[in-house]
Amino acid sequence: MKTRNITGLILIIISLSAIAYATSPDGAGVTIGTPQTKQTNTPGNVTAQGGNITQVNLSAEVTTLSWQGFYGQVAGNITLEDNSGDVLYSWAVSNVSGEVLASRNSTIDFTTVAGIETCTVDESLTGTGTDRTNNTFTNGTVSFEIAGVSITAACNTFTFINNATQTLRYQEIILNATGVTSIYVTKVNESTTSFDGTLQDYQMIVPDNQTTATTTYFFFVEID
Amino acid sequence: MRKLLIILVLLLTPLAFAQDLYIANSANWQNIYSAGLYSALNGKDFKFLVSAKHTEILINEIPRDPIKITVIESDRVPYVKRYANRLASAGHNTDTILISEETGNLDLAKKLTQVDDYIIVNPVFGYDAISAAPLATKTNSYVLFATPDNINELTAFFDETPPANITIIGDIEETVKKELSKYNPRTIDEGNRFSNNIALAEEFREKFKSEQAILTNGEFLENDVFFAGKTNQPIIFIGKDRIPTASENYIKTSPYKVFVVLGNDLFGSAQLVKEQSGKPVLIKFAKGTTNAGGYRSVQGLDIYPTPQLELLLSLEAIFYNADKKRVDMIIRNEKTARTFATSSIIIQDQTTPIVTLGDNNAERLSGFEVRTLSYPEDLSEYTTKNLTAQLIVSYGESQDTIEKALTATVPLPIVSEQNLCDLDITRATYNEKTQRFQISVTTNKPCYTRVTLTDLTVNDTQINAQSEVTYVDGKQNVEIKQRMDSVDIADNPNLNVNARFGSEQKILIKEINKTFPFKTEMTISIPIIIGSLAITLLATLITLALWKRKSKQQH
Repeated sequence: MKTRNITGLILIIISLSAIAYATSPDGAGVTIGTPQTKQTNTPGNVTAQGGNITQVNLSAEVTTLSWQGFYGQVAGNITLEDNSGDVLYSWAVSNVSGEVLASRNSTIDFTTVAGIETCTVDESLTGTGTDRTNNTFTNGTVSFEIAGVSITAACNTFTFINNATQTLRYQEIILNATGVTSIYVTKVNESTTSFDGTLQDYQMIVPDNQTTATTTYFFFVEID
Repeated sequence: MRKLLIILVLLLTPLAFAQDLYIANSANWQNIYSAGLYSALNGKDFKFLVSAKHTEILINEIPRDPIKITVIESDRVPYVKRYANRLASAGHNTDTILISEETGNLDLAKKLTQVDDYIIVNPVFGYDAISAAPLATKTNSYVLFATPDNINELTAFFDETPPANITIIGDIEETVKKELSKYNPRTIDEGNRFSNNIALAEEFREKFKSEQAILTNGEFLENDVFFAGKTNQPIIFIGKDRIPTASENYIKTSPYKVFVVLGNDLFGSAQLVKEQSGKPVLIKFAKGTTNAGGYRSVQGLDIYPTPQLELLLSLEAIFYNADKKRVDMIIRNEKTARTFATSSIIIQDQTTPIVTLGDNNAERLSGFEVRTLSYPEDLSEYTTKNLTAQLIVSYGESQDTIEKALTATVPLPIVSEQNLCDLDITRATYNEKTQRFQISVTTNKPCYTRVTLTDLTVNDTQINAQSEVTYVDGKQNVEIKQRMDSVDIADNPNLNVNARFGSEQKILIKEINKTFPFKTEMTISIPIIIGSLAITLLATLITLALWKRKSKQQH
């Protein structure tokens, strides 16, 4: 059967940046990443061959305006040092585990966090197109503990590793709290291959207002 | 009908341009703090500029949809003049509140007509102001900075708009305290910033049943300082290097369920809180601004430093006194603040520990004092070895707020008192005019000495007053500059004089202690002498003249 598939692929590009806070000897090390962006795709070039029926798949990737990606590393040392900064002893904070949380709210009452199970949250930001929240996150069983609260069900997704879908790492869920519409949470996976093959501790996506406004997110890390 | 529509439009217009955001534009922390509280008490969102460069960055963090923005701008030290004009050019509806750099705190208080409860703090440091912020915003109170310079303006304000309640937090100047006493203030002063902070945090927690607290070091402003109260969170101080005992005990025993640490800089302390309390700890470490799907770097939080209590000790020398059989460690207080220190020294042969020496109680060092701490220990059998001392001197502003540490591993030289100079203290007096002690010392040969008056009571506080290291050959006076008023002189019937001395300027091995009754030195200035002579001469001439007149009358 002669078919003609026009597939519009809208990929959520995890646009990347890193935590650019000053690294201090006894602070969490934060690495600045090279910002990355989706390259513009060249339209498909198909040469027709007489006598053949050619199946033409037209693919297009469009950078979404609705989601912003962040990744980075969480590392640190606890040091014993003198006044000139000479370190007498340093305990590396290895086996970093915990969660990175991103919210548009600067202050959050973490004692009231709960999983969001209706995945239409923040569609006032993402719009209701193909890349809306409900098409990005799916309600399901999860296993997170945030601020002592066990989260067993929430809208969740897995961001890509090496440009491919996967369901092993970088699971991301959505929570809310009293007075807070949404909190995006992912687990820290120390030095794990990320979306582009580099080793990172976390990567996550957050919604952005695609029309008129910039959106400021505040980032928290819970240390386990 | 048309008139009705016009009236409706006029009525609705102010609602459409409700005050949405306040921005502080000042390089003065007191202005920023005051503007933050002012915004929180008015129920408005708040941002503050942290540099001139930030003026353009901040514009990108404000929604592009036009909003009403009020810029609270310093008259003398704004990061950019008339920032409201720049924001207006970006399409926002703007307004400016111009405040004085010196009186901005009070300027804004006068605008808060709905507030009649006040918290008074000393603005020398920011600690008490930061501690007080959650209670202030939660109880609709405003924090006023009080100093001897502005107390008259403050009392004039209170006389005009009588306050309902005044609470004084921490150590404020005596003159300020005296002026405010007529308003019957409540005082919370537990002796140091950590204890004041804990008292305020606990009062807040009890009153508002807080389950979450913010942890910071009280040395910078961040938006949570102003909005913590509104979200039912008190602020608890933790140190940067270590958690002071008082804070550690409070964190461990209080019923908070969650702690939020402000800033990436306190990551180490956050780990310690997690380990010690076993409770969830989240670190608010960054912010990121999206740009309609583009990618942008995540940035550090907007923070503004406040004046810090500077504590710094350094190691001057450490040696083993073979004659006295003790280890002497000389440490120097590099800052003006009184500092408490406790030491632990591991004496090693190469890397093999021989003995650990240390203090049972913290030692008090006055500002800029150089102190020799002595630890008796017989190391005679090791004097031929290469001894080293691995030391940790922990210190803080009080005995239970030890938050910093000086650490070092250094060679331990062996020294002897034999063949060194001898020194005696022969006299101690105080010159009220020059405000200096004169300590007379004599030596049998050239010598270096540092003289200390120990446990001197000045302004109801015990201090050690000290001379510089002085070269003495024979008989000499050593001066110690110290202001003393008549009350201080009465408080010190005796002077305890200590002299450390030796042949090397930095290693003053020997010491002598003597006590003298407090004596003031009589000094008569030349004008007084001339004046006295003139009066005496005049009196003599008058007496002579009168005697002559009387003699004439008799003849």
